[in-house]
Amino acid sequence: MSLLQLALAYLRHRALNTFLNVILLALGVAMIVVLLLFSAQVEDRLTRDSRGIDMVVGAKGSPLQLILSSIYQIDMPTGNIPLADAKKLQSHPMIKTIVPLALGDAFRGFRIIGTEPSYLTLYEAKLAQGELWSKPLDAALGAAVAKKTGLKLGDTFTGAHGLGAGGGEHQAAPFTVVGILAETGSVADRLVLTGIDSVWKMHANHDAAHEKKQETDDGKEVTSLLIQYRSPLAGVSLLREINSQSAMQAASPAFETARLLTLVGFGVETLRAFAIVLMASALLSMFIALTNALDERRYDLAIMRTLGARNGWLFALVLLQGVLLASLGALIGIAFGHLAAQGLGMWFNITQQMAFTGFTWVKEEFWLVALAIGVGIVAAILPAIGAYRTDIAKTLAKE
Amino acid sequence: MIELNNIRHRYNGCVVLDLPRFQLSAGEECLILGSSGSGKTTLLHILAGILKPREGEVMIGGTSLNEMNGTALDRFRGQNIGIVLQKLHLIAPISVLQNLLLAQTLSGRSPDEGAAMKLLENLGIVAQSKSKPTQLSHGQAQRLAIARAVINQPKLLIADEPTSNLDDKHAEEALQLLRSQAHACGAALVLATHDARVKGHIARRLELRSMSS
Repeated sequence: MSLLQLALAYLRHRALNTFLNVILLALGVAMIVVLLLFSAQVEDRLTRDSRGIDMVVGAKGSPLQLILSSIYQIDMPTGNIPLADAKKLQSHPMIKTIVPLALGDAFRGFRIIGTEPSYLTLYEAKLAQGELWSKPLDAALGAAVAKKTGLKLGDTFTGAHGLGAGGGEHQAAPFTVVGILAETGSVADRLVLTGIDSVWKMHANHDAAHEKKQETDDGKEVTSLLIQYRSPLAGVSLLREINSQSAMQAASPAFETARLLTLVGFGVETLRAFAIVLMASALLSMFIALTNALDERRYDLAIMRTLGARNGWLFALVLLQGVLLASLGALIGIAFGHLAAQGLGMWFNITQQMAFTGFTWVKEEFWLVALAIGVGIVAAILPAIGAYRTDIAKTLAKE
Repeated sequence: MIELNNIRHRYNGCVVLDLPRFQLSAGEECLILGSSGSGKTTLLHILAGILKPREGEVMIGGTSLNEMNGTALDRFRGQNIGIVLQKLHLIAPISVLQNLLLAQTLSGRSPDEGAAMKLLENLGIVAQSKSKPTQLSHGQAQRLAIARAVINQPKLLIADEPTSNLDDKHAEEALQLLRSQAHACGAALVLATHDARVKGHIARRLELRSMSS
């Protein structure tokens, strides 16, 4: 009959009480797990998608919107900029590479992006099948697009106006799938990539039906430019130069992402405070349960002393119950948190904005387990000291 | 075997027990009689090693309890003294057998399931070994309490009012069990009681008088 067996027996003996305390702690832990997983993955995605991009140039408007639309592909573009203006930047001494993007259409909710092969190097995306676009209306599908739509090499599809599903279709200009990309875990998985001239051609045909437009550089437009600096020192001065001296807008992904995270962070902090309140009430409830149990069991403890138990043993018995309650709560909370995160992830997947999974770990979870067990120890320490101080003769004489 | 010399104990300045000399040899039986407030419980607690007298010496099996402290006294108590209290207070969350195994563990010995089962068999409650104490009848619970007190083969078996609240038949049975179990492990038996039914069975008695009068 070991200490552990006895502690477990006492917890089982008051099963409902044990269950309530475990659940209360588990809820707090689960909530923090979801928050940890969520913020870690959002942050990871945000930094991964913007890695290697020092600056985005597009039409004037909100800088955050420019970043969101051009890098993360989750907001409407701020507008278009003339190709001629964009070309001027190509010769700028501080700029190493420019990746142009032309946005405008979508296929079943996935954006069709006109760009250059250099876009793929940004995300280290490789072809899984087929080849890249070589002529207008060739398209390469991101891994998630190919999986969701079931399109294969050689299949054709038509893009729809606007960035959502539906809208008027470009029936006259069907795309042909020439390549499918391997999974990258970045925004590239959810895009249909094509040459920038495909987008022009599609809209040229389209526009031709309404009004005649020139087929020269002057009339051509791109949505934005993803830019890599030649040296990190370029930063602020180049940004200021473009913003003040041209009709275009330049925005820094690092700065805007940090701003976005503080906005999201406020919500996360609020939820985290709520989770901490839950854990504090779990601590209180455990403390009350163990103190009440101590009052009920004082005679049991005195009997054990007469049977030869040292007072340190009684201390350990009560403390162990707190630790067991807390460990159980932490484990259930972590399991529950991961399941809840996975459930949320599946729901996010349907809305297609971001892949989110519950089946991953963050190292903060170890600290969370340690914190929960700490809560158990704190809740049990006073009752354990009470058990330690049990006066055998007085307790036995009382009844 | 058991020797008390010049025991005096006070509560809040009042002397509750004054016992110049008390001796008991191995296997001997003795009743402690006295009205409530006569220091019966105090004497039992002193004999059991859970209360230190303000004055005087307690020797059990040649060892002086006065000189022992903390862990050593706990260990000595677990191995040499068995106690059956008026309220049995068996450990409710664990089974009948586990109650005995716990008593073995706490005394510092390794649990011996065979010995525990044999004792349960001797006491006629082996069929209940897996039951919880709350599922036992009062008679069975009392047997378990006796089993728990003698499982470690003590040198001294102490029982506090073992027959109160029992009908004649069960009182007789409890008394015989205590005597036979004490005899089986060669322990001295000390019974505190004011039950007239017990007085006929044991000749030696120590009468305590209330100190306040």
